Amino acid sequence: MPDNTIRSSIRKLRFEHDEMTQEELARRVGCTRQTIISLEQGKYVPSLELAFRIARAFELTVEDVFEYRG
Amino acid sequence: MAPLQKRALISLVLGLVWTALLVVLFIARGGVETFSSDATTRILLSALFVGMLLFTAFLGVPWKARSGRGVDVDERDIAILKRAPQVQLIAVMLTMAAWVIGLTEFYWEQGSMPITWPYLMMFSTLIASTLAQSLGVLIGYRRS
Repeated sequence: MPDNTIRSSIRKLRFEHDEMTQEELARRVGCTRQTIISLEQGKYVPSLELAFRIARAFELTVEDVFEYRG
Repeated sequence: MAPLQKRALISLVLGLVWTALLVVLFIARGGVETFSSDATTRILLSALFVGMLLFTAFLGVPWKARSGRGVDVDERDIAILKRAPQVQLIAVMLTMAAWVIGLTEFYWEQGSMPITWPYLMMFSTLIASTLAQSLGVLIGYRRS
């Protein structure tokens, strides 16, 4: 489901958080590492729930992690 | 590679090998004529066919993953699984169309066809459906 209208800053945020690995983030938010990779590449748009869990893992809001370019 | 993606790939490869084995056995044992007249051939091929379906249903893309209760799947995997039937539908329609057109044209003059053919149509359509499920999952991973 490629959707370039939603961009994420997950990659940047991981590095700002002690170079958190994709595996570690996936474990914290309860998804697979492949989903994190897909999110970082902008190929997959997460559900609201996953978006909130990712934002919470970085202690940020959803808007800080995801950007809508519609 | 995601766990479900790996299962789908293994399932597709083994399914293709299994299908090839079925076709080779079918031809080696005499084709439609023997299948129609020899119960042993029919039972042997049917057992292999059912074995393939059971493998695909329970080991290839597990039913737990389909219901979203598997431990190694997340929302993206489930979304991909839910779109895989689109590929299955196309595969089933193409298989049925090929059989119906082929058999109708071949037996046009006779006006009827041997009773064995519908049996083989069912075999091949179910095989196409199960293989297409794995293929649909793999396509889903490529796209998302």
